Amino acid sequence: MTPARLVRRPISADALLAAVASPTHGASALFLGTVREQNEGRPVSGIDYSAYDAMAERELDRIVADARERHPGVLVAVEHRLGTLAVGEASVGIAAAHARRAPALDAVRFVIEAIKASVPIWKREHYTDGSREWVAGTSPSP
Amino acid sequence: MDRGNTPSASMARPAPQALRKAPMTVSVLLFASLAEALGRDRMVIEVEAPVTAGQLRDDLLASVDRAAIRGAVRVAVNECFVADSSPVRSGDEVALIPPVAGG
Repeated sequence: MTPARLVRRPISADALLAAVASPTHGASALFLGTVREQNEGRPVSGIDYSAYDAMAERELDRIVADARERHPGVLVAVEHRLGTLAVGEASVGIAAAHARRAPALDAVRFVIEAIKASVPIWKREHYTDGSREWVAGTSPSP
Repeated sequence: MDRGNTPSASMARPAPQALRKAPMTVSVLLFASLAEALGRDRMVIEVEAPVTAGQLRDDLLASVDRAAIRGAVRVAVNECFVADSSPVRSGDEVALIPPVAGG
């Protein structure tokens, strides 16, 4: 598995953890972001994720490289799913492993915050009344 | 320096580089709410150099209700974010990046 990729199939927590598992890395941490049943009081029926694929993959690679620089020795695996997801399905999965727990946990947090801040991925929410809206996002800072 | 003694020879001399207008072909990719607002997800445009990323974005979005795009639109050139002041060059792949919502 490459460290960071966009996928169009369900994200597997087991596969992400397996990708960073190692006999020397006694601490593994996992984050999954899943589609919630409502957003700002509106009942959600699904979310469509789209991306500037080439740049998103490049940004994900950069984020993993940054995480590894911040926490030498950490192993990181990230998948972000694109396409239409139902409530409960995972849109993003991040696994990190290290000999110690603090760098593993910190690396996972670092990666999810960085993804939200700058990766060119967008989400369009589908609501149970049939309406759809692009979700307000974050402008990457210069 | 050319000291050709026929007026037509000196008038045919090309203009200095700095004064010559330079048309460029640039690809522009649009996404999400911007693609929806402009009714397309890509375009190939001719612009005259010099032009910055910010100028190109502002020109392309002139017809868009900017209030509908909640947040600044960043520009990426060849898959990397650039400052608004960055020059755009012929053959560049420019992308207008509305506020992102990954994760």
